[in-house]
Amino acid sequence: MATATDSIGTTQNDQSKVWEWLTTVDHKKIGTMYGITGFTYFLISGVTALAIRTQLAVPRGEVLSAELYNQFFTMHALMMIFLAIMPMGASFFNYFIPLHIGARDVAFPRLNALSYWVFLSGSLILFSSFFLGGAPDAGWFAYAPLTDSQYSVGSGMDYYSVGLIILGLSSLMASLNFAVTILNMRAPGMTMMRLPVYMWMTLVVSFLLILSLPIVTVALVMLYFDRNFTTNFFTPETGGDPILWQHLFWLFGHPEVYVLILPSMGIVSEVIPVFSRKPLFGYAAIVFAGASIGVLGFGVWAHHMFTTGLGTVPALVFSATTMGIGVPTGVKIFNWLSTMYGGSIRFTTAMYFSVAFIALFTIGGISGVMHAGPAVDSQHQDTYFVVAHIHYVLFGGAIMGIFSGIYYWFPKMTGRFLSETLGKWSFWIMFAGMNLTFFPMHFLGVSGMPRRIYTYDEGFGWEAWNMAATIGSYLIAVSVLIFLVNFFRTMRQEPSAPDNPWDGSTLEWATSSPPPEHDFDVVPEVHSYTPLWTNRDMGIAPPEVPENNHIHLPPPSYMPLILAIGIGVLAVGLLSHLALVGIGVAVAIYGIWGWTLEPTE
Amino acid sequence: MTSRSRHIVTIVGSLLLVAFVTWLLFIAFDESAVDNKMSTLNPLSWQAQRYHDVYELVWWLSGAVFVAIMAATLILSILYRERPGNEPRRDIHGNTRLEILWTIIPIIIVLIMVVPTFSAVIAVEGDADEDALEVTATGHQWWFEFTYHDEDGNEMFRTANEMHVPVGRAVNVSLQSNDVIHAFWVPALFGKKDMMPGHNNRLWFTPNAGTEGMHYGQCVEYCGDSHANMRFRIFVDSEEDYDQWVANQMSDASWSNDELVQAGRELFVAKGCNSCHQVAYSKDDAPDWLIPPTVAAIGPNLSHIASRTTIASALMDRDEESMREWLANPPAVKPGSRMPNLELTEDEITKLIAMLDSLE
Repeated sequence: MATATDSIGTTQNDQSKVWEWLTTVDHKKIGTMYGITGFTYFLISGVTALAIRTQLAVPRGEVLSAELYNQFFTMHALMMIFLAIMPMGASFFNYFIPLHIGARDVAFPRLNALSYWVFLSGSLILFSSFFLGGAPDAGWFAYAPLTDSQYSVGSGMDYYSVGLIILGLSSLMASLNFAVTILNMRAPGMTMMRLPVYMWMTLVVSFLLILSLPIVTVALVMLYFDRNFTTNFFTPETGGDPILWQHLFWLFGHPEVYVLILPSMGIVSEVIPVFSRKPLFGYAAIVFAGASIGVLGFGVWAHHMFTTGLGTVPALVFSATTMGIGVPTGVKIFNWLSTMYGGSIRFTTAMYFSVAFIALFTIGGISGVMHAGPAVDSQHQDTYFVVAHIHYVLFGGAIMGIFSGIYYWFPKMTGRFLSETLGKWSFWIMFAGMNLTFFPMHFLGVSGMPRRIYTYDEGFGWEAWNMAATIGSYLIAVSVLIFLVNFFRTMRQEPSAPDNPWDGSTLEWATSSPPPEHDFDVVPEVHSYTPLWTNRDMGIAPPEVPENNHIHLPPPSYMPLILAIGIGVLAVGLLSHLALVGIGVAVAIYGIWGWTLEPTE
Repeated sequence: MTSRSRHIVTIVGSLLLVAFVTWLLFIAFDESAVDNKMSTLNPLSWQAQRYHDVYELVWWLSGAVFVAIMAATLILSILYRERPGNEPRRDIHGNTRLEILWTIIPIIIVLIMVVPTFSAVIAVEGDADEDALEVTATGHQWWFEFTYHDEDGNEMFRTANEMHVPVGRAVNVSLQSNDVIHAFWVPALFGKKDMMPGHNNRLWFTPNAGTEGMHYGQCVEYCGDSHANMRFRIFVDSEEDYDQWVANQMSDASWSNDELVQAGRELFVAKGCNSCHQVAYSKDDAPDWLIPPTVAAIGPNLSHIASRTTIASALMDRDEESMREWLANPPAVKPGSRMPNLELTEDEITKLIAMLDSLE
């Protein structure tokens, strides 16, 4: 039987194999495709970051022109957020939601395939802007009226609006799918308070996206209309208001930050107990803290806008809510640390990344609380201090968590172990490089270096720390290269992983590595939030496989792919000739039609 | 080594290590930032000082949390790593009392920060002193325009990229934008505030006694191609120097009959410079063709450019070499510049520089 990872790293000539992947509705295959696509964009976006750091290594750098630099820093953010971290998160969601909750697949397998193909077409549209007249260059936050056709003459901002609408559509479908799956398809005995923390964070993230994506979609449609049909939503000369964009954008943009970090918090909450070999300390507190971060995340957006002249009272209210979000975050950090207390910690590479997550994310959290009030923010906003802050949260937090997840789940996903030796080399070089790159940015920030500048003069005291940051960024590149070597070497080995190599406590370790297409022969019963440990301690034997174990699996379908192609063509039409929109709609309708009439047995 | 002494050595060692690293970082913070031109750590007005006090408090609190968490991570990682005879305490699932305790600790830290933040913001964001100097700062892609007003709010004069203010008197800066969003920031004098098109933002500061001299500023809201090149300066002057500067700015552009200057003035019109840049000559001196048409300020007002120390939105010193480089090809210096490359010859540039240098 084909497993999700047979084909990684080997050349595919067999057409039926290609067809199998194109039409798959298996959550593990879709998760794998998300992961590979996301990691590819992570590498591309990393290259733009290296170019940026090379340009800034010395004063008056001449590596990039102003135009190219502005495209690079905009696309670096867009690609890291929408094309790398989110899809890598979605990769784990896809792969592990059914395995964690003891289901055979997600609730809507074809919708799941559609989410991936729509994501792929949206990402290609956004990325292709580099080669079709210039990438977006107004920052990922794209403040009006700089994005208006008067100031952004090229088509970059159209790619931005259309690309993000398509990507948002994909995330919205995926989030609905994940939320429904987690709420409805849990194994017998798995109550909500026995749900693995990772699943809780997935659920919170799904609701964050379901609630916030429509807001930014509205804003993006308005932006597209402003640029193409002169609707004047955001242009002040004709009665529009640029501040409207900022409210709509950050009302999405701040929850989005939690969309990026919460999955990694979930991963860390799985990895730390397993390698400390004791249950998570304060399970309920961690769950409630995660959920309250999600809720509070919707009430803090205007802290991005303290300098816009919000007015004293709103500024103070948003400052209080922002500082307040530090409380549940603090609870989580204390509980992770307490999980290590009294443990017998096996320091695998996955555990290294998780412990580093605690330390680095804490730094990002502290620096975030530092400018949570308008007083300090007025000196930090739009300086490198904030660049340091977001990279401690998103690199030290989100990326470290994702790497931890990769090392932790690699045996489950592929049946193979990544080399621990290379893994630890990669970890330490990344840890050193990460701190060398981003810690000096705090110093640059308090020294007054603004963000998003392509050049700076000597004599401001910014030279040494910029050089340090650039050297650090190359160290990060080296560590990622070591990871790639590790990956490809490992994929050439024979699968040897047992079902539960780390003595994990969650259901995914109850099935084979890699799991069969139907995930579980029989789903085990769940009696606690550490089901495998509890079942072992209580002597509950794994359920027996019935003789005629007939498992119904959804058949493959190419309709999601056709519908996604239709949506892609429609989007390309919005960027080129409106006639293409008609063709796109026709293809999409054909896809929906075929989908509806398709037999599901 | 007994388990007890191992614990003590680990805890003391980790604390010392973290304290040492923190001390190094503190030195780096301080040493690398305090004396810089754009440092945020040298407040020179009471308003900036008020905010800086909040920063200092927050900084120390953050430092304490940093040391605590880093040390705890290190200590737990060392003490509880796998070793023979170290059985995991599977029975620990949580501890309600502890969890309540560390919900309360962050709440207390937040409250300690909230109170001074609120009082500082309310004090500083209030109305400026009655006798404050009124200046409108307008952001343009990519330069700053400063319009000075008298007590009745009437416009007195306009200048660009270099703002002069008297020491010890409140300055109320009204922030406007002519195109996209920019931000006004002179770290020494006050935190930044955005220049939003269609909105009337303002900020105010009172330069302390003894802060006479030049202070660096820069646009800190991304505003397009040459965002990095949009800089400005504030000069804090003594009362006398300031009054003298105002008197000079209020006067007509100075007139000279020097041959080179005259040739420069003809070029200034012939090349169309005056369609963007105003030079307010007196009607008694200048022929009609030189009196500029009333145009919107597309480029900086040049009436007294020779009284400024910089050109090109404070990117370059105002010296012969820089002026030549700038006039020869403005977009090469400032990418995207609205001032086009006029393909001026060396000879033409010499004449224009002579004319500009005469405008004291």
